[in-house]
Amino acid sequence: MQNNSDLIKQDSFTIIRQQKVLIVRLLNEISVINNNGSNLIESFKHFNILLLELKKESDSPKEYYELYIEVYDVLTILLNYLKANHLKLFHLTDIYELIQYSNNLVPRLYLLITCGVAMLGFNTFPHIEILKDMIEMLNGVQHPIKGMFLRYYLLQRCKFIFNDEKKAVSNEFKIDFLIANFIEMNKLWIRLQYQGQLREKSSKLKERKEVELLIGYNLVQLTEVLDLEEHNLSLKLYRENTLPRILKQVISCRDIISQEYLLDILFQIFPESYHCDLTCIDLYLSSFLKLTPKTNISKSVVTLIDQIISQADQNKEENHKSTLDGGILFDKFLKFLKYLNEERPDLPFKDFIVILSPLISLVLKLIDPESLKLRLDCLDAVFSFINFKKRDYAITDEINFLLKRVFFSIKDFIEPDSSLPYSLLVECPNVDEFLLNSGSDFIRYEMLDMIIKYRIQDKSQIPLKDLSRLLKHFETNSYTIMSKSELVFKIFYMLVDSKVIISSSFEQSITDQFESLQYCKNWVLNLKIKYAKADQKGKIDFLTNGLVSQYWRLLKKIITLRKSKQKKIFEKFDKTLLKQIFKNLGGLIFEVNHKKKMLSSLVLSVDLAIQLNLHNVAFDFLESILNEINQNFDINDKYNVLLLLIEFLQKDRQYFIKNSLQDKFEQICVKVTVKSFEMNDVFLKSTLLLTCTHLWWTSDIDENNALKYNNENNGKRIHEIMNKLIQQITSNSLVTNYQLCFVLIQLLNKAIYYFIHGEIEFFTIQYLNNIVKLLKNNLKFLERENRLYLEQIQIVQEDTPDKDFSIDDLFLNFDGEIASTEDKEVDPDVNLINFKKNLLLFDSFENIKTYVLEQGSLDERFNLLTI
Amino acid sequence: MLSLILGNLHVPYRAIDLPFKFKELLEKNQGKIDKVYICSSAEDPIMSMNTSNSELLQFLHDHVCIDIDLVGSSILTLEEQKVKYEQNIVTKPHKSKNGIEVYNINGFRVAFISQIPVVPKDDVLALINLSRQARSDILIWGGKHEVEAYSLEGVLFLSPGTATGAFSIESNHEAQESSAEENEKIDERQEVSDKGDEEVDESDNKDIDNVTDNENVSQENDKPPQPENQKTDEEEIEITESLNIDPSFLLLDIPEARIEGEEISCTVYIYSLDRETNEIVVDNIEFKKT
Repeated sequence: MQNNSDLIKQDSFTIIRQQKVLIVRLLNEISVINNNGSNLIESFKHFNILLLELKKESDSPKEYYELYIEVYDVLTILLNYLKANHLKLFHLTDIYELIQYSNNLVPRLYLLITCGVAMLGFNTFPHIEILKDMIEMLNGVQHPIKGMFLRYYLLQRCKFIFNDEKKAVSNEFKIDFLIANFIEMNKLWIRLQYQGQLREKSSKLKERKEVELLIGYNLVQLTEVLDLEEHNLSLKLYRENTLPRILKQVISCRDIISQEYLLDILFQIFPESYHCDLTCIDLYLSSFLKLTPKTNISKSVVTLIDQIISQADQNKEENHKSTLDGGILFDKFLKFLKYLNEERPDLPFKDFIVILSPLISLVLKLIDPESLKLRLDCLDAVFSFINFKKRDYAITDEINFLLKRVFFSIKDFIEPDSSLPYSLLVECPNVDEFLLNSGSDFIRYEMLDMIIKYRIQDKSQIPLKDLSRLLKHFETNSYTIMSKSELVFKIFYMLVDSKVIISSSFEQSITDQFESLQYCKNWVLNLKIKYAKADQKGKIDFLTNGLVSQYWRLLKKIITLRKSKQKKIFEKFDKTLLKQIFKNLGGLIFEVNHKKKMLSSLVLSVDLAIQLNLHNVAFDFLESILNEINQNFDINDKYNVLLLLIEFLQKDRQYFIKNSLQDKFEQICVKVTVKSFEMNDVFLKSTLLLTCTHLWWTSDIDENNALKYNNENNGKRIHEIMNKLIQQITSNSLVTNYQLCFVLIQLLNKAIYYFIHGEIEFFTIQYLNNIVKLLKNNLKFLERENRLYLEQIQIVQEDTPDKDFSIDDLFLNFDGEIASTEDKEVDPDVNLINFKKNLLLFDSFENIKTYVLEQGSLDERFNLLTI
Repeated sequence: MLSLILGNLHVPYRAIDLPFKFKELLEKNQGKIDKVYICSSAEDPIMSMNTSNSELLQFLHDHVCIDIDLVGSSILTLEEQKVKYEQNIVTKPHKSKNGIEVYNINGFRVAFISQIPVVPKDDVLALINLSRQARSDILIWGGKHEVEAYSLEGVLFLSPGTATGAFSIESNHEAQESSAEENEKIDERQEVSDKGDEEVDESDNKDIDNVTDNENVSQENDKPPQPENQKTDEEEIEITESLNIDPSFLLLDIPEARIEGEEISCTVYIYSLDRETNEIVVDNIEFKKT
């Protein structure tokens, strides 16, 4: 079959080529005898033979097209000959008449068109009559392929007329002509579907696709005609004369392929600016409603919206003032959606959904962010439509995914600091409903995440009225809290903004934010009761702690006010409100399960109370910290909390003294010191106690940055603590020599600190020398231990490899343990480790010696130390 | 070896993320940074809390450098990390709970005081003591939200400040009240190479601010405001301030010594973000090991 058709095709080509040779010979021959044009008449025989090939049934439009190209080529020879020899050898009117007598329809029409077109090249002929005549004659051919190609031939040959700027033929006529041709061609094209043998539908489709360009060619010519006019006029022609007729054909042809193709190329061929005309948009939309049921409507709607958006972009790029009003356009499309919903209940949900993303894009692109605040109803309407439609359909994963995409299309058009996603949630009830009812938690959180992420950029606070609306989304089950606690926390974070605006409305803003915090506090406490068991990873603790930090932020704002120059506003500030905030804060902190975190938070809150001059609050908090430390508590955590407490107490020491609270403060300090003494670990205890000494000491500097002696410093107390520490470790027979030396070195360091700071009453040269003496005596024991160790190895290890005695990469930590600066393991040999520990202590002592020697040049007192 | 040092992130409690400008800069330089050290006070939740799915750590891991060390973090083992961080971010497990961490970076002993307080807070002599104990050449301490760099007694002291601009609990003004060693500190600072001079200028300015603030405070304490002042107070004046602090971080560049025994030096780059202009300011300091 394939071979057979190939043969036939080859035959056709052979015939065409043979005839071409003959024609060329005839038309090029210049003979005296034949100067009346008889050669031309002779050639018509050959043209007839040649053109009969286009009359034959062809296997496919594609093959027909190949033949057509060949024939076109030969007809060009004829056309040129006719134009060149008019009036020389013959008159074209005669030839036109003559051809009419040809027997075969198809060859005759090709020849007539060629001749007619030749006549159009001369102004002496009536152009319009000729064109009308030609197009009318074509009505005689109802065979789809043959008819389409004849009409295509006419278009190709008449192109120069359409492009003609001189307007020998009026543009209106051209449009009429082209549209008439387009309508007939489209009809033929549709007939192709039903013509000939009943072949498979798919092969028919293929055939139709092969020739669709011929139809499109009409529209290409139409734009060229319109292009000849000024923009306004051409738009008018398009709107009033061209488009309605094209659309009428599109609708009335009731053919899916035709409708889809034509709507597609309509948008491709004609310029975007035409499609953005409001009347045209109305025309499009109303015709979309009338499309044949299976035609893809949404694709055309989407294309139309894309055209509008792209035109808006272009306007922006060229700095044209856009005449496109997003609001009006949106209303048109929404109205269309509603009609569509009423008139086409058969359309699947999906087809509606795909229109929504572009529609949102249209709104965001064409309405500037400021005006959009007043037109949020546009976006709300989109989601209202979704919520409404959703009721009638089964919601599959695919639908969920598509709906999510609709929501996320917002993202592509907004700035990273846009408040839009958040406004959508709190101001558009339909968006809120959409989120609450979205099928999967996962998708819901993705959407909430986006809303919150954008909101975070927009630093302002969340008002109380929006809070429940936001938190509601997280209340559905325990899983949501456990897996989305960071997201929930971000809501907390937004309760208090970082901006401190000091004005008369300051107190009101604090009150509002405090109310929001209280709301969240109750919310978290409810969670704690509800999900205590499910909360394996301490997520509620995470939230509780996070909320504590937000109370701190609120307090920091009030502190900023206090430090500002606007004293009046702070003086007027309601002090009971302040106390209420602390009361709530304290209550919240006690809900933290993790003890160390809880106590640390209390310590930090003390500092805030002090900055607000609320010493009673501070003391209440301090008392409760000390009470809590009493109970069972991990030793390391206890150590850490005490250190933190000491750090802050020391920092705030001056405050207590200045405010005549020294006695109360020192009572606390004594309690802290007693607790430090209670530590079981020698190293931790000594570190803590030596740190405690600072509770009785403040370093001040004067205006010249020189050390200033502070009368409130209590060297006696420091001296006592140190002595008690020395006494405890020297008298306890369970304390090793190493431990003793370690603590003494720390102690010596601390003593030097106070010595430098000018504590002359207790930290005398004599006192320091005594410590050194004690240290030296004890170091001797360690030296002996090390000597013994070395002797032992020499005896035992004659042939084993040398040990690494280097301490370059090592140091001693607070816990008295050796630590390495490399990631490698420390040699597990206990004796070797002890040896190295001792070496490190010697090294520390040497360092102190060097330091003391160096200080001698700055402070003569150092020269008197016998170190 | 280029190390990124981030301090006092307080993510997510006191700040949600690194500033966009920092993220942009760090992302652009992905691959150049060999290691990230996070050095902070014990209250920073990133070091110990259930910051599951911490976006910031994930960002550092994916876009800056996979080798992240939460220095001094109480998260001890990989198993513990898996529980706390739901995403698979591998930070290094740690050796000690309460203490100093010392790293040997191309011949420099770099000590970190992270997760433990320095008492008295930010006190220079206390820091010198710690550095002596750690036998360090460089000492980096967290807990101070202002960036700082100075050399003293042959040791370089660095505070990375806060990378997120998180507020600190203590008052900003009090934090600037320096201890008695300020005098000595400034003398020493002038020994730092020429490029460090800018840093000195900056801190001098801070000191000036400090002085004026103190004056205000004393005014408040000593005498009631003048009647004229009262008038201006009553007028509707709006002042906008922010809780946040200028964000900053450090880059520590310690090149490998080529010849044994060669004098080795390092460069510290101080990046800070001016919140007024939203521009990054870069200073650098060279430091030679003695």
